[in-house]
Amino acid sequence: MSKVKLKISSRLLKTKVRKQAYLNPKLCRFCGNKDLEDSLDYKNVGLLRSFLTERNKILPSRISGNCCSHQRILSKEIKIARSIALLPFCSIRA
Amino acid sequence: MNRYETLFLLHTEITDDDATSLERQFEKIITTAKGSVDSLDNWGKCKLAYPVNKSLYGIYLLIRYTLPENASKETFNAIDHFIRIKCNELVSRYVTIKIKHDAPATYARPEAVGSTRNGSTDQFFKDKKIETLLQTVDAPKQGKADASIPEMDIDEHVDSDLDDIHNEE
Repeated sequence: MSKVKLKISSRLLKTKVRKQAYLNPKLCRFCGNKDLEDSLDYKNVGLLRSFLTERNKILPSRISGNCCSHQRILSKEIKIARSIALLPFCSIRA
Repeated sequence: MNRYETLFLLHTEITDDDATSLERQFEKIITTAKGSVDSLDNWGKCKLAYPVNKSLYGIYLLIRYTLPENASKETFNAIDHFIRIKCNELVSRYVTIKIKHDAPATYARPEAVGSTRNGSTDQFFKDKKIETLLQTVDAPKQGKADASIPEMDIDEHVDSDLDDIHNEE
């Protein structure tokens, strides 16, 4: 009985498998979804709120998974909504 | 032809006459620039994300209009001049944005606060000219004057309580 020899050590393989299990492929919500892309507007406060943190900062694209072009449009719309008091600049500290 | 929209943030103490005069004057500016007003939309009283001019509530008014492609800077300057100088006391914030040609007429917007409490049922029937319903509402009040008095008191208490709760929020 001869053991099958791995190219990388078993410890490294385990960690690699574990990492891949956690990582979900992040996709841009707006790419390919025409209706959602059209609804991306400074008046649509409900949608824009889902891209803000607890402290009302804009979520980075590495967390929300947006593509580069849509993240740019989104941040612009949020800033317009903030200027006309539809969205807060920051949450007030208690 | 290019499409634009302007969103106004008005004070809550504004009267209906002020709002209509603002709309008419705005229409006049656009018609002089050979444009046309597509829609006027009053969102009603809304809660603001942060206090503006020391008030937590405001009235939003959205106006959509088209202007010819060769619209000069003077028309936009006239709009800015009108809002900043003539309507300084009414308008606290405003934003003007160019919209797409194929943009839909419907859009998502924040919900209004307490817009239903202002209107009374009698006024609604008078406006819609439903006289038969109006008579049925008026008739029992005239006939049973004694019975209607305690009911009115309860209604007033409830209204005052509701106002207190509303102010606290």
